[in-house]
Amino acid sequence: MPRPVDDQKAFTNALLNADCPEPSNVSGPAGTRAGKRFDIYRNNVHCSLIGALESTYPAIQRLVGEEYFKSLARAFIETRPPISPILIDYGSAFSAFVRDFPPLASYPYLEDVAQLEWAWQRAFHANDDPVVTPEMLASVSESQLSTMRFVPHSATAIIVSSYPVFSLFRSNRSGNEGNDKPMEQAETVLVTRPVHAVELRVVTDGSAHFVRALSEGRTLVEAAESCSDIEGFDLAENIQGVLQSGAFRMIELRNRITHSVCA
Amino acid sequence: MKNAIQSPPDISGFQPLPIGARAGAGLKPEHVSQIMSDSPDIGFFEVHAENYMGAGGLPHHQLSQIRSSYPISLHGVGLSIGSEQPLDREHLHRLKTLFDRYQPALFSEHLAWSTHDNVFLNDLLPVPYNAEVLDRVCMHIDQVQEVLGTRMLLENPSTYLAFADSTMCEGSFLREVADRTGCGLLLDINNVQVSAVNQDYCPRAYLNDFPIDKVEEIHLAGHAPDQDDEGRLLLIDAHDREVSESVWRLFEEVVKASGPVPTLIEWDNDIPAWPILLQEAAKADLVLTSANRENYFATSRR
Repeated sequence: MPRPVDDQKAFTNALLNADCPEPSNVSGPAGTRAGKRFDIYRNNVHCSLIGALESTYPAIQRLVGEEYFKSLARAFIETRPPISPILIDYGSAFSAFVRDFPPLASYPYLEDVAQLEWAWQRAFHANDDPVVTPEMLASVSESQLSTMRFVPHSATAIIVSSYPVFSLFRSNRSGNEGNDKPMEQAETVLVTRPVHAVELRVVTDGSAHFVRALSEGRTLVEAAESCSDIEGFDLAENIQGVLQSGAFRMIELRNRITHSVCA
Repeated sequence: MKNAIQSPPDISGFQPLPIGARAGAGLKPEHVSQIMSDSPDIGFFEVHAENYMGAGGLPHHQLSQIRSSYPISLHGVGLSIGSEQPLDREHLHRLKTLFDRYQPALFSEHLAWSTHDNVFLNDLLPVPYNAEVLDRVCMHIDQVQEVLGTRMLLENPSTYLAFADSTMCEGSFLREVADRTGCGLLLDINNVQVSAVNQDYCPRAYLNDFPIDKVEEIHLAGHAPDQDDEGRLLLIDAHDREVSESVWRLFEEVVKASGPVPTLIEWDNDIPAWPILLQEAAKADLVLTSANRENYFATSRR
């Protein structure tokens, strides 16, 4: 009779839970206890996954310290182990985990820094989309302007924070001394990757609103109107900013049947 | 009427580029710019497939640059061929996409598992060697070769444990897999040394029994010493230092007996400056070319 196939379940449980004894069918040579030999696999699993999180979240690692980061990452791995062999995609839930991690409750800016690091990681590996150039915009005729929409580049993201998230990110990734911005200074960051390098720009609330309105599929006219009440909003400057940042990959000129995708 | 304005996509296909019986190095992003400016004389570069499964960006740009000048070999670390559960079809198709894009000269994976249920454990975990596992592994390799449309190479693992339910030795198991599926083998000589010490057998006896005629690539790497609970020497497959003298000796013996095959220096942790990695590859090249010369004289004397 074939044996029920569950050996790897027992092996997996023992790998992920230090309290779980090693599987009964493994040993050292000549039947000696597996013990430390099994721990090598446990160690490989945890250290390699901690390493993956360290490479995606270096600013968080520096902010909380290397040893603290290891235990934080270990706790994250226990609740949210990777479900894909592509580790560059691992860790999307880390910012929410950091937010909800009780010992870090008095460091609310960590969540925003983690969100920015994740946006950076997504942008770094995003599709090689083209970017809208000033020439493309110039080629749009006046009669087409009312239906013109921008389609966002795969790398584009906006991180809104009540803290100096860009300054915290930059100072803790570059290895420079601490962030010199006061903690109450809010920063909103536009993340783009026009070629191979990820670009971060601190933008005004108006610019963030404008980029978001365009990304959601509003026409240029609608997006401009939605920003008209924002104090100090300069449309020409913002259009130029959008083109410089490479936030959009193409211009669409036809009327869409529905706006449901951007509702 | 024109209704969208965007730049045309860049489509560039690679022609197949075979790997000769030379030494190569594992490709590390931090070495790429120096490699591109120095154009070193090296046989090939090997990449871990899963590191290039993002949609785009610098990793693909770098790999395209390298692939324009050198042959590459694609080494999977996440397929979980030894798994009790079916292969992840989505992952297999991602591999196929990557394979078609870069046209690697070789594709290899491990005799190991790394996924259970849907959890990816990111380690190459061992399997017992028996008839049941043999059937499973062969079925998975058939599937991989069918989807990729190519022969794959299967790598011998480094192990730290023995299984009570093993009924055959590793060499016989690998021979049987190669015979049944038609796959080739990747002989990791560091893994041979590591497993032989950890499992208390002689590496030379292992290599004597190994189906050496199926070997189409060799891996060399460094290992770290440790101890088990009884104070016996344990070797850890660390890939964090130079290849050990014992592994160089075994490599020379294998090459002498079987002729030169593409040989990779793996160095994945505590990654050295590029010249040091290149020097290790040059050392392997010397062994391969001297074997080539001996083979040449042996053939011409006939």
